[in-house]
Amino acid sequence: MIPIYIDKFSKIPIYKQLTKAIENAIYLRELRHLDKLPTEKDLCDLFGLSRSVIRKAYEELTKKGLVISKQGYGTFVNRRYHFTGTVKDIFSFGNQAKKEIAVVGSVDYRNQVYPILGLHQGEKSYDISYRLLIDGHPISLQRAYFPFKYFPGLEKKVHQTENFFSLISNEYNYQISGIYTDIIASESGNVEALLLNIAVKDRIYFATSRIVDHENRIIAVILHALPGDYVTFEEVIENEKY
Amino acid sequence: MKNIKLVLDKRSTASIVDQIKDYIYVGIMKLKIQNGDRLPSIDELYEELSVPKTAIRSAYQKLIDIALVVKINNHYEVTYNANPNVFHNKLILVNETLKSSGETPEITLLEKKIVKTSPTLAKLTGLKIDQELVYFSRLYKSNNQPLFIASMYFPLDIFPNLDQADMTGKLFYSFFRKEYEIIMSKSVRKLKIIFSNDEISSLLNISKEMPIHYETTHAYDQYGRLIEYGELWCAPRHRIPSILEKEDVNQYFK
Repeated sequence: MIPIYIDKFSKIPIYKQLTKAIENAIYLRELRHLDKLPTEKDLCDLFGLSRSVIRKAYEELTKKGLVISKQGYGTFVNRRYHFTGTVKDIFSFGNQAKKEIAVVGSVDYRNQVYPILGLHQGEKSYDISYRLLIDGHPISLQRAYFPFKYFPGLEKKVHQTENFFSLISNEYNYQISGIYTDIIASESGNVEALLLNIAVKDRIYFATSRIVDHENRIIAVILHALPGDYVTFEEVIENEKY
Repeated sequence: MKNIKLVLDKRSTASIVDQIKDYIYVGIMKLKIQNGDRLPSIDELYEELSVPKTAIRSAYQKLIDIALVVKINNHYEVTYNANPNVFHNKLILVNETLKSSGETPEITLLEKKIVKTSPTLAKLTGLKIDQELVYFSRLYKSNNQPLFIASMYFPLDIFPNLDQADMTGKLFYSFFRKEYEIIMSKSVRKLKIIFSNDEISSLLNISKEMPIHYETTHAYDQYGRLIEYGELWCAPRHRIPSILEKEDVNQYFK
């Protein structure tokens, strides 16, 4: 139970005292991300307060983005890292993100990527899943497809490098001429929910990136899923002619 | 048809089919070849490149397989629907961009009125409560399909009589510069994903509670005043592209 002190004789409105107490507990990390807050009824019984006071406090906390309510489940602390940056930054998130490889495997078909890579069913491709985390919170789940024919022996090299860019350009000597990405709005499935720490059917950004070499070949495809609740893209346009 | 200068490298290890396909693919990704553009016909490309027609046909078929190209009657047309720079990181006259990409644009004015800044809007924008604003709401369609809904708020004290102006087919910022000597010098755009509500779903002609791109704009003039607050709800087929050129790759791709 969080330490909440309410002074009913104080001139400070009770809902403000309650808001402040919970806020402090969150800032002091006594309450952590996704901890469940007491229900309105619990607090009513405990402090002899009216429900409207508690509701007001929770509304205040929701407005500040410190808690989220899930209908039927309760109110939860929301202290997860929120990324705000440009769309271009979805590979490295301002160099803050840590890569955590989940699976290094191979596939012989994937309908989302094989046509883009120009591969036929049966041709092998590495299928590498990894998460990018900031402050321990997953900010992106990526699946990279590297065809065997372009990246032989990748499984031995992938763990030695933090950086796909140096892998592609130094180990395999490809010159990357561009990376082309498009992003759509989507919903998470089971895998995204599990690895991004969100609920199934939560909103996600779904991005498809094509890595193109100087011969115009698409040598790799990366699919990304980003939690919609924790990522905002921002662009600032200045002094543009119109 | 756009003039596509395709050069094949006969020494390349990639097949002719793949070279043609990749060239066009990258052209589409770079938005040099856009939605609605006609690709050269098989005969035209055959004359230009003197490669077997079957190779050209296979290359086009591969682009059809990945839904970037469609075959309509006897010609091949690009269907990649990204006109994203329109909203996200560039200032572009939407109408012209759609036209140049072969789409037939249609803009419907849903509403135009004077509103007073609500407390919620004041919080979002930094405007004063009860300040008068001119509100425009428009539905953009292309090829008869809803593309997005744009709502814009402009302070009436900065733009007197704006509610009287006929803005059909005009770019607001150019109009502001000409008529009011107000120069839009900074625009901050934030992109999120939301679930569409009933009203938006029905206007965009999509199912209820669909995840869609939602963007807000805060635009400022040469004196640093907020001159526009805008909201944009995009149809699900809308894609936001991001292009990392060679120079960017080092910085952003790790």
